[in-house]
Amino acid sequence: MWDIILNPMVTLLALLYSVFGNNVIIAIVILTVIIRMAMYPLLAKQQESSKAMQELQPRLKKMQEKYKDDREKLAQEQMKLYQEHGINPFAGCLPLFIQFPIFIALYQAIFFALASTPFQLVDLSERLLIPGLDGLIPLQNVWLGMRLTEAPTPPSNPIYALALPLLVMVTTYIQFKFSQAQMGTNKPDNNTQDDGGGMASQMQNMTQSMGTIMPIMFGFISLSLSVGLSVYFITSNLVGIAQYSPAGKRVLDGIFGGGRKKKDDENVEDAKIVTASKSNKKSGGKKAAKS
Amino acid sequence: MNKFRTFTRLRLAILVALLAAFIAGCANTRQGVEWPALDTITINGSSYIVLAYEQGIELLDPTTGNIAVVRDADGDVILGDNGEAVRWQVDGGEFDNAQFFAEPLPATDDGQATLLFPTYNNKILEFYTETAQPVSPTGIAIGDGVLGAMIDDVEPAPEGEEQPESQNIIIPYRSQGVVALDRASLEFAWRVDTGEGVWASPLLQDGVLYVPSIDHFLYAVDVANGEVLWTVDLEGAVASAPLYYNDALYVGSFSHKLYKISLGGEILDSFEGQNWIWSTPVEYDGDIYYTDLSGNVYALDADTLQVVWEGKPANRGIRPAPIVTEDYVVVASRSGTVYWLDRSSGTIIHEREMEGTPEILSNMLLVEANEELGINETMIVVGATNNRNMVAAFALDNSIPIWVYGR
Repeated sequence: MWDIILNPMVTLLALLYSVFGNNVIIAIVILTVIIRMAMYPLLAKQQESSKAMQELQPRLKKMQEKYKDDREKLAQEQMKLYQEHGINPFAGCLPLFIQFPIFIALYQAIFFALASTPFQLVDLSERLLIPGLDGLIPLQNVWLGMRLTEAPTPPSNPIYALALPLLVMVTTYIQFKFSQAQMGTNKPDNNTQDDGGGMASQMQNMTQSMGTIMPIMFGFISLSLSVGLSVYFITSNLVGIAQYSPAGKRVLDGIFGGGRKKKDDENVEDAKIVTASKSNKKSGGKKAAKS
Repeated sequence: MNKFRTFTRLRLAILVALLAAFIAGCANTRQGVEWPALDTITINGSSYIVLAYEQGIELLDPTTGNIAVVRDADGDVILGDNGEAVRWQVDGGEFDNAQFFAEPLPATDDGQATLLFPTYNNKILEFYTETAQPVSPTGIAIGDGVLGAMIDDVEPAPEGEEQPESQNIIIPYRSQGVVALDRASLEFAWRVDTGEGVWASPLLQDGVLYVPSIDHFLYAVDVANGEVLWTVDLEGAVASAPLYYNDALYVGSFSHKLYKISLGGEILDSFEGQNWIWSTPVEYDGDIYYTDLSGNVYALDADTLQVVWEGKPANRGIRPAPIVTEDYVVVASRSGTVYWLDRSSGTIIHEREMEGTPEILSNMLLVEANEELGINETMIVVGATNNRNMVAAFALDNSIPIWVYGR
């Protein structure tokens, strides 16, 4: 089952390697960019869903206060609110579920294609779907004096290869920051910080922790895995940074369409919510909740 | 039910699941090097199976599959320094975590028989054959790791003739090329660079070394001085040694093709199969038998490379070379199953799944029955990558399992 995703990617990587002059780095970079771009509509959908949910938080909070003794009614009202705004609270998860296996497969495709031991090559033998690509095996795997199939640590690779895990850490951190900025969750907002049960603040703390843990985790992973995979991580992060950056997002929304109109709709909705939120502060929660 | 709380918890759960999936994704990719190396060896007239895999070497008793207790020429058990029977076992952890993937080469040290084991860690370790004690704990440093067996630079003498003395040891390097080490001084005698590694033991025939390389070429090298006589491009990685038969070489590559090559380096003919070929073909009665990594087995006429029969007994690849006898062609697949095919038709006669269905990738052994040695029936010995079921023996005639060895 997994091979249905993995094998085409391994084949595509070998094909790109062949097309781009047997340069495995270019093949990895292009394949990563292609996959991440292809996944962009899903990413955008996920972002929109997250943002819409975030924007409803003030109203959800008011509802929770209002119906704190009647959970059934609360649930009904929340669902009503979601329906009014055309939001499926679970919609943000689906793109995540679709994207992640593909990124794992991409990672594995690079691992398999860079096979450097008999074990790894045996595994590769069942994965190339286009006849004739077998003649490319084993892929050339030395780049700037670094052996792409080996860990970046000496003596397998020169000392400067250690710059790659460092770059993985830095780009992971920047991508994380950009993604948080895009979702608007980087700075705590009094209106959205808590849902009455501390869950939102827990989420906030967890998000902050993730921002620290993930770069370190990926840095360590890169230290133990091959240089080729560090190249993948860095490329993937750079594409992510471009996708999450306001300018990049504008360009991509323009390319993939649909995003602009939704964005405009959201802006109108934002304005309504902000207005409602301000009037809540002035006139008190109960009145605002009734309205 | 509070939908929002559920949603938030769901997101947390997804995050955890994704991290787990990422780790699982990493784990799914294999980090190992190769499969166990199996060989047979005779010590003081007794026969043993050598198993070299990762950080361990064991000598197995072919009658029981247990780690062997070594006997001297009189048949008495050899005792170690502690007065206990010597069980032939080496732990690579005691030698800078040495890893072993190749068969040993017999040698001598001060008149005592030894075994030279190349390692993946750029050294050769030498052990006394009777006691498994190291000649030197540090070993002999070489320039690269080794996956294929080392060989002597002389061919076995015909029966009745005196065996000439070997001058050099030929070592295939896993990253690039082959080297010849002077047997006495262990200094480099010559070196041939290939574009990529040499993962199989070269073939020595009439003073010419045939070196398969995963750089897609087969090299013919003068074994006396390392001069490259010719090379031939086989359109794909060459991971197994050629077969010499009837003044021609037969060798497969990852191009899916089996080639027939003249001793002058000219491709005389080829036969295209369905996947990579990773084992040396076997000749029997004028036919060539070989397997591929799609699970196919082929029998070809050696002269014409016309198909005698072909079959696909296994759904997964068959890496080891087949064992061919009068009646059977025995093959073992990555699915953990051993197949006995009728030699004349390729029909499956027996199939036997190894316990735990481990991946069988090692070259198989045919251990002949020998009543004097207590081996009652001829056995097929297979090696797998599973620690619990690493080596198994089956009766050649009826496929009945005889023993299993696990670490």
